[in-house]
Amino acid sequence: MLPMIYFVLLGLIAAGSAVCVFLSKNPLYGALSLVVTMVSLAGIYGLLASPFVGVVQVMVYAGAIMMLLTFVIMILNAARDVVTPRFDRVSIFVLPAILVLAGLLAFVLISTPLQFHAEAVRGSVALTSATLFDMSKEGPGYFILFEAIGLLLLSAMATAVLLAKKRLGTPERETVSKEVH
Amino acid sequence: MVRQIKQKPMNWIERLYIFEAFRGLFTTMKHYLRGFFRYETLPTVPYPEMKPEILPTYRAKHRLMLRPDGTPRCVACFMCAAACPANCIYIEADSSLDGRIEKKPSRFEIDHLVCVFCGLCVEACPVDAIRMDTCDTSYVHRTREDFIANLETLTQWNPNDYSQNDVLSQAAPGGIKNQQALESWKLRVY
Amino acid sequence: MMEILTSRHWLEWAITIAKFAFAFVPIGFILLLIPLERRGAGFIQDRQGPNRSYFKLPYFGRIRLFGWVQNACDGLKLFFKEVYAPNHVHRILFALAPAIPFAIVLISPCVIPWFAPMVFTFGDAVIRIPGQTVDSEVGVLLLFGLSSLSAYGAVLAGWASNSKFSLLGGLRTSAMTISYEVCLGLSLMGMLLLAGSFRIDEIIAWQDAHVWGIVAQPVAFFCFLIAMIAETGRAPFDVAEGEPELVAGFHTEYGAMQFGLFYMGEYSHIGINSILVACLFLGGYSVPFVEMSTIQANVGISLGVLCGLIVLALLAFLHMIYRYSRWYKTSSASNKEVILREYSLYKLLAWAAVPVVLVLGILSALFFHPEYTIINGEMVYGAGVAFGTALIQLLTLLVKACFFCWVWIWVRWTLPRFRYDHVMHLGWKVILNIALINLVVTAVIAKLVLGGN
Repeated sequence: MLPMIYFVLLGLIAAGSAVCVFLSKNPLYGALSLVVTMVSLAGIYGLLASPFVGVVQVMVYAGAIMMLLTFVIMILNAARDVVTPRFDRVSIFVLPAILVLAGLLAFVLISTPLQFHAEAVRGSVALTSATLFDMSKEGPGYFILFEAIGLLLLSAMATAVLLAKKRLGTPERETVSKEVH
Repeated sequence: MVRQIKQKPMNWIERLYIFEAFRGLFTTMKHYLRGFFRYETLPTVPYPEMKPEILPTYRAKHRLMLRPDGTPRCVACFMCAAACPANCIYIEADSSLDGRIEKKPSRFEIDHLVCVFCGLCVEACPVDAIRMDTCDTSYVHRTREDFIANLETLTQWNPNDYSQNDVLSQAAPGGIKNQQALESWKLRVY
Repeated sequence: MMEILTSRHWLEWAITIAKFAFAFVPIGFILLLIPLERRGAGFIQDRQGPNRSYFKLPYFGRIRLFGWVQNACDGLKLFFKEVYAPNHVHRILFALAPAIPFAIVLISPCVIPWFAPMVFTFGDAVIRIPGQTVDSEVGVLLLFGLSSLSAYGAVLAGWASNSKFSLLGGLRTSAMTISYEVCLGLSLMGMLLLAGSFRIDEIIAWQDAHVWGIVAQPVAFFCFLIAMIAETGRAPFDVAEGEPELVAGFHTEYGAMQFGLFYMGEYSHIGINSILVACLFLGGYSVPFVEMSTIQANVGISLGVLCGLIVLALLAFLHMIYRYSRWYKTSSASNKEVILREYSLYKLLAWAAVPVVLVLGILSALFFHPEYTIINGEMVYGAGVAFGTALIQLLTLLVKACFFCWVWIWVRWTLPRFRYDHVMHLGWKVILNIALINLVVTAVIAKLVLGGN
């Protein structure tokens, strides 16, 4: 009973703030609503007896990625100069996709009974690590994927740094030559 | 000529910063422990209740020296007003009733809001009438007018606050040499 | 609903609810930190620090409490000032921003264990109480997640103020938080690896069984401490509110209690972080050189020793007061009568407390003998022993945390502020790498020496 109430509350907050992301004209308000969605999602993960995933959600998404996003919004000052239109040409494709997804979710929710077993441990720290780093041959082999993603991220980061350095390097020379004149 | 001061280049331990930071932490800790355990040895004093000792050579609030009979020694020669770089001294002269003295000040005002405490008035005075050895450094008044010291406030001082060897101060009324000075002065001026 | 209520003993429920009071411990630390900061800064700079405000008592006159009253006055002033917002701000976010760090501060202490898990018999029931309010296995991660959210307060304040100084302060805060969060997590990893758990109480148990974290992981300790100081945004890392560049940074436009919330949020954050460092690297609630079972077996004597320590502290305080009094009597202070009158109150209180505490200590040492029952091969004591032990452990933790509070202030008033690029350089190029190397070395050693899986 109690988990059910929590679930409904958190779900309402998550869905409501997700709608806010969609509706808000100001990018910063949108980003903040997204943070609220993330945090309430983390709460739902906690309800599903996988607090580790929930905490990682808060740390990585709400804490780091969204912080970076707000950082970018503030640095570009997009919030003040650019008002994003609520609907544009892309919305024609996005809206049906959202509707289909919502329909699917609703179907799944109706067809399966809503129940919570607080005792059922789905994603504890030990379970997560055991599944992720199961090196045995008959294991799921996630660790290879894990390493591959790590490598991919590293190469992406290196590329980003390289690109940023190139972009930063060129205008500097121009300003120097202007000053000489 | 430009004098170049060469700074000693840091060695690698200093450039690591962390050891130097610890040295700084040690220094501040020493000061903190002194304050905490030897509170009374702090060099600062709780000001209005305890006042720091000020030497008579410090240029503090002015005073006008007095003759043995209590009139100001000032002869209204305007030397101090002329010497004052801040133009804070205002004097009005009057003829003196004493035959030996030509003039006396009827107004003598020093604006302490303008004064720069350079001490040039003291240097300029030919009769040692103005001094800055009151050791009084607090100027607390409610209006701007109150900051202007006049003849009355400048001559209100007690000879007992000054050294026994200070002949001029002790010759003033209330001083230990006043009687003696009055006798040599012979005449009373009214 | 009823089965949830009846699933536990009523005493267990009572203690579980009472543990929520621990949420206010970091806020209580403000009361300690602000006087410590202001007077400590004074002493470090050879000043006296603010000590002028007083309240009046009938006989004893002006009571200054060594400058503590000044902070209460400042707090009251902030509280009763008009809450004012400039015209050009974004109203909603401007009002919301100061609440965020403060709200996080109230939630954060939920995963900190204040005492070892209590197991005791009460009547027929055996009651088990975990030391933390939220007994979660993610433990310290939850705390990091929450504290990473608290930077939103500064960021939103900076943006909503609609002023360039605030915006720059907010930008710097967000950049610094992201950078140092990484260092924070990575430097801690070595300790987590050794203990093999995210739970703070298990980390403390590991330290209790082996050595303190500061000995096992000295490099990680320094990295962690530096990253922590940077994350709270205190000097020498307070570029987010650097006065020479940014007026006051993200809270330039704030006044009254809205500013006060930022201020209190910062100080409570220091309190939480001090407790956390004490837990992770200084053995937390474990009493040094004494095992918990020893304390439980001799709880009367332990409490007696505790009372003895309190008496010693009181006597030291009295010694100090008498020395000051002697000095004041010979000094030329015009208010020495007032101060001596004030000191007589302290003398009276301390002299009244000394015999009471002494008698309490002797009584507990002589007459408090615990009785135990053996359940599942373990000795389980009664409620009195459990609460006595918990009290000793809580005090131990708080003393350790107070030491780190002092470290925060000490560092602030010693080191000059870093330039912004130096901060980033230190974070990404120095501490992050040291923490990574430390992690790798720890992992290798743990594998070779301790032989983990």
